[in-house]
Amino acid sequence: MKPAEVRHTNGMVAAAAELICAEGLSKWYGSRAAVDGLSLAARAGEIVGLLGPNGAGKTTTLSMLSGVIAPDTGSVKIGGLDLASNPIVARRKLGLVPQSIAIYPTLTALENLHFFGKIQGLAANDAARCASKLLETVGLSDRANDIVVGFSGGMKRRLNLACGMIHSPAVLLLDEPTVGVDPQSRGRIFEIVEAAAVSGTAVIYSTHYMEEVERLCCRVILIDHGHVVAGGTTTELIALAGSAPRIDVMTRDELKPGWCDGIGRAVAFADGARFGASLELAALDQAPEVIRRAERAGGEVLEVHLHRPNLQDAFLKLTGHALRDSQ
Amino acid sequence: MIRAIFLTLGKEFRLIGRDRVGLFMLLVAPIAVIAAAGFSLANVYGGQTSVAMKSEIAFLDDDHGAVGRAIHDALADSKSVDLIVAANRADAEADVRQRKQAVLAVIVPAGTTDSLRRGENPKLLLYTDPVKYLQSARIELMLAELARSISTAATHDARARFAAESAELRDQLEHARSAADRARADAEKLSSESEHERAQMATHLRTEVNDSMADARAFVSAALNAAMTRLKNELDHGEAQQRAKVDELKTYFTRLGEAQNQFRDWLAKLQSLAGRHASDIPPPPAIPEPPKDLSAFNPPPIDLSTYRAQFERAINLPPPHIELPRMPAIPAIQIPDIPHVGLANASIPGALGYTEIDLGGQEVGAVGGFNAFDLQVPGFAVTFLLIGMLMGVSLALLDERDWGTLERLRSVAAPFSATLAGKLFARFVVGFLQMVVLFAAGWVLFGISLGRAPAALMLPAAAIAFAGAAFGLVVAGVGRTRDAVLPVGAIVIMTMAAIGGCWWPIDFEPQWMRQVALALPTTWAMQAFNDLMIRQLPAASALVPSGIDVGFGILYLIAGIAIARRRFAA
Repeated sequence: MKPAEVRHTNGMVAAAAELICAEGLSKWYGSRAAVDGLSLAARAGEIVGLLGPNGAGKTTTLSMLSGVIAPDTGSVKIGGLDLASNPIVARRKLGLVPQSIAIYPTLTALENLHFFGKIQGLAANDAARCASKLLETVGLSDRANDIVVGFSGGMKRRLNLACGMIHSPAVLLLDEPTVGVDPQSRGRIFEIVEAAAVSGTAVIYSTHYMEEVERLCCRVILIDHGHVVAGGTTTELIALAGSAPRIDVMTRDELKPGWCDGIGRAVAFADGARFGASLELAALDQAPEVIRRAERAGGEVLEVHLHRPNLQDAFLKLTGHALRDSQ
Repeated sequence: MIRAIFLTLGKEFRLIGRDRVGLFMLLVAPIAVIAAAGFSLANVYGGQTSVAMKSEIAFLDDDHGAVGRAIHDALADSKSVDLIVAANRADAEADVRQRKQAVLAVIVPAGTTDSLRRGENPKLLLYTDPVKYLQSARIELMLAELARSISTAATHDARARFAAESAELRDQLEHARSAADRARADAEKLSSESEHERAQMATHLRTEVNDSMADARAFVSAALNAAMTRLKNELDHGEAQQRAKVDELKTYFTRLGEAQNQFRDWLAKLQSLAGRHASDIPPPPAIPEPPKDLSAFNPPPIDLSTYRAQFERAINLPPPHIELPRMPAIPAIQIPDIPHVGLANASIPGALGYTEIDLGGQEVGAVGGFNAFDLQVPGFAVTFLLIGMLMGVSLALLDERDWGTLERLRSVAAPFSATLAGKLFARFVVGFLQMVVLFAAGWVLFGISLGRAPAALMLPAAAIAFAGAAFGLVVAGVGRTRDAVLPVGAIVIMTMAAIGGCWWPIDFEPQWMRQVALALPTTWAMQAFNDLMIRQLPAASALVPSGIDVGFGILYLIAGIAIARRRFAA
């Protein structure tokens, strides 16, 4: 493991080792490349966001990183161990939280944790201890002995996360762990992931939610069509995409043409009985002027949205606006 | 690896235990289907079940004789028949064809009993419903057996009467033969006695004759003695007189001789005197010489004793040989041998029937059949075992894939083969226990036979559970989704069960289908179960079919692992 400078989410910078390192991963399904020559690494305490549109190859990448599927080319090392040649030992250091809620619905929360803990090599006592601690962490202590099928989506997600962490893995692979959960559960999941990173776990975090990446990840890898499109911090990606701020205004009356001459080119739209327009700003300080003109031209400004350039803009800019379907 | 297998095993047991629908499908559904199929088909297979299965039969007795009564009583006593007594033929026919109340109607025509007694071939009339063919066939079999029993009984009766009459005739002949023997014995006795009497009579006669002869001899002797005495006296007197005469004659001759001597002297003197002429003198006449012996003649005394002896000899006859004429022989009374006329020689032909003897040597009746549940319990147990495997292995693997747990399991520190092995082993154990429970339920609820060695049933049960679990893996690998696995698996399982003889005896199937069935594990499982339960063969009979099922299981396992590795590892 080579030491590296890592910026933790809490801003702490420390020397850390690469706990997971993938080189030149490729996976082909027929003539279609799900992943093609992808490389990535994550150090201890680092949360690396894996970002990409549907069908970009995120899940395939995580599957290859976790050993669920074998790459056609490339290699994965977990804690310095080659996953292909030492799968059992390497996997002990690995925790996978699949996109689907990968828990047994007719087992209790505790039984799920016990099972996944023990099958990851924990002794029964250790599994019980860790399960109890994790249940408390994910806020399911009071439901420990309840059948999972009765859990809410957020509870299941939290348990799903716990099952991937029961054996305190060195590397945690999270595949969209907050899909369909309420803000409370999402917040708890964030806290758990952040805590794991703080404790030295290398986290690969795959998600569609830009705000999650922006909040959690110190580094983002943007992939599309199986390739790494861009990589770096959030700021670096936004800067790389060159996105501008945008303002949306809703007015009582229809905005007359030329109402924003000199500021930018507005795109009009209608929302029921209301009228609206959207235009890019050269700088954020143009926003008051846009609002004043809209009030004059549209009778009354009913609603204003000011959009700062963010990761999503960078994402769309780098991957395009074309609809993607999972393949 | 082993730890992972057992962890998976424990997890699977928990999952199965919490899966109420699955448990229902494993245990309750089979029993419900077995009950439905068994009760429905009990009449087809003919055996007795623990629950009475009754078919309604309309019955009309126009005969009013022994045959009608016998059929009525037999049907009424049958546990499988509910008898509806019809008022007339139209009513009986309506029970079957209009009201559809009865499976068939049995009419015993008038005069059936008399016709049968006359040695004719009377026929019963049946009104049937073609839709109820199987039930009708079953009842017709029963009626055929009943008719044969009645005919046999009639034949037995006739033969018994014949035998009784033969016995009586034989007794009479025996009596006649005894009488003849006695007569012969009496005749021989009479003959013997008469012979004896005849001998005695002869002896008596000889005695009497001898006595009479002795008396006669004595009398004759006495008379002879008297006559001899008198004769002797007379002879003595005549002798005396004769002797006196002889003496006189002797005296005469003596003097004659003396005279002759004197003459010769005279002559000699004369010749001498005649000189020359002496030659001319003729010789004197010869004086006859006196009898030479006269002098010596002394008439012997007449000895009458000689005559007496002759007389006595004459009268002393030898004892008479008295032989009575033989009695005419008593003619031999010849009694012809009278053959012993028994049942075996009865001239009335018997009725050809049959009785089934199972492999245990027990008679199971003319139309034995078997408890339908002996077929349905193992058949549907195997069917639901395979369905359980479809759900427990195929769908469960897909579920795990859909839930994501399979993905997670593939990422854990245990080989995927351990996961598969644990799942298959768990399903094998559950399938085996399912078979045990269903057989136990079948035994308790439906009275199925567990064969000579109930423990032997575990062998094919384990073999088909293994083959089924491995087959579930193949199905899971073939079907990509639940929607694919369910119809494909269901069709394959239903086909395997049907062709393999799980739902009906495999012998119902055409030859080509039975050939196809040899390639199915269900066929061999059912063969083993049928051998053990219905045919009552020893435990060893299950070895080969169970071994074949294990072979199928190994093949399925190899194919299933190969397919599943590609399908679930991708």
